[in-house]
Amino acid sequence: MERIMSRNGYTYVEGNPINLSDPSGENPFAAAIALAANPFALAAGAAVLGLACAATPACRNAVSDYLEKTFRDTDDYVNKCITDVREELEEIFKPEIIEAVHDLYSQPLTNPGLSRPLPPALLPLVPPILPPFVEIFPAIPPIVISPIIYSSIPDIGRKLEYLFGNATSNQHNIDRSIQMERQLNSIGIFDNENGRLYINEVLNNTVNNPNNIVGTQENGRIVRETLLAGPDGFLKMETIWDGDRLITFNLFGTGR
Amino acid sequence: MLLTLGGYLIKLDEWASASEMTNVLGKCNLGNIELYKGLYSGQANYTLLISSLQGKFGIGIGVDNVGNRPSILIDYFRLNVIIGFGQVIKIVSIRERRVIGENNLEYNFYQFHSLYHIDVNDFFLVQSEVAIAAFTYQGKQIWNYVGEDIIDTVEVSGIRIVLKFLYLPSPIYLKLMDGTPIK
Repeated sequence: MERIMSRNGYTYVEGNPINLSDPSGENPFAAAIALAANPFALAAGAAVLGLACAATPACRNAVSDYLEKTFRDTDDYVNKCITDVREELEEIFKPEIIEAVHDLYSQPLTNPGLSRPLPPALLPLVPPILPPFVEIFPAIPPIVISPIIYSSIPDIGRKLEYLFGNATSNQHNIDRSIQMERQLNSIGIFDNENGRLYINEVLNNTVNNPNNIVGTQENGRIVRETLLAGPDGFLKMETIWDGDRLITFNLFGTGR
Repeated sequence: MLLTLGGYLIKLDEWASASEMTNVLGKCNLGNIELYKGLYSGQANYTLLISSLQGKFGIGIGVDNVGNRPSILIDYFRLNVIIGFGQVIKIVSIRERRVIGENNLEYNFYQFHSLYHIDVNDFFLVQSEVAIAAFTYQGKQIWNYVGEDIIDTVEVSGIRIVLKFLYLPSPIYLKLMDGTPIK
């Protein structure tokens, strides 16, 4: 079905400036799609479209481009695209990634915002190709979700050093730091420019997403839950925030 | 490695899998208890086997591997072991062979600081990643200080505690008895 508002070339973001933005002027959904790249949506989008290599900026751009292209025209075109990628899915998904995602989503997620149904258009895609995903898809949000408004820039200080195994001094902190680095490495995220860019972007999305809050500590600090998607798997990341200031991380899982 | 507590011997072991741990616990003729917390996925598994003339009692500890090992503090006066792991501390009575106290922490447990050496026998300190707290040996929290950042070092110096943070200017000083900052 054609989007009627898109026929009028003089309207901005199809008359929906609150939920959409379009810096390039070419596609009102581009920003929404890009903003939808919170870790869960990104992972879900990447998984659904078979682009599980979402850890690098290049791969994320590919996902965004593909989604942008997919949503540019009509639903018929979307369906055609879905059909086209159907065969690609089997080649791209590794069994161990499927298993890792299954494990992660089998664990209790306390955030009800994460339990939205798969878009109906994608449901026919699921059972014949990836039976295990039937169980986990109900926990994955749709690809296009409400855009996140970037109101906060996270203050992460030197915490990336801690996350990437470079903590010094206290043995407990060194052990924690090294373990987190191992976990990141296990999913293909390393201490390099791409890895740091990706984590920075994830943290930026995390602090700006009101749907990932899973708890509040006695002193008001916020606990948020995020999914890290790497080329070789996924990790659940719990972060604790004092306002926009990052206090610490917890990573769960080992990738696979 | 064996520890002595009264007439008991405590053997500490680490296991590669949960099934190995369960297997060892199953051989304890005086029973066993298994302590888990968090999203435990069988990554890190430990046992305390407590032997006496009557036989063997086992405690299994399963915790997600976040890099830190569990730690135990021996309460010689009450024949209890206090176990810190994950984000929790649990007090186990050796005589009663059950958990008699439990406290959740907001951050990952790091280590205990007993205060016997400065003649403080009624409470101990629990250092976690971002906080430090004082608990009685019965498990009641006396005070809790949450740091502004990840704690690097904790030093008890007389009646004050010296805290240094990993990435923030420090140190800061706390009163040992109530955890309030000293200006």
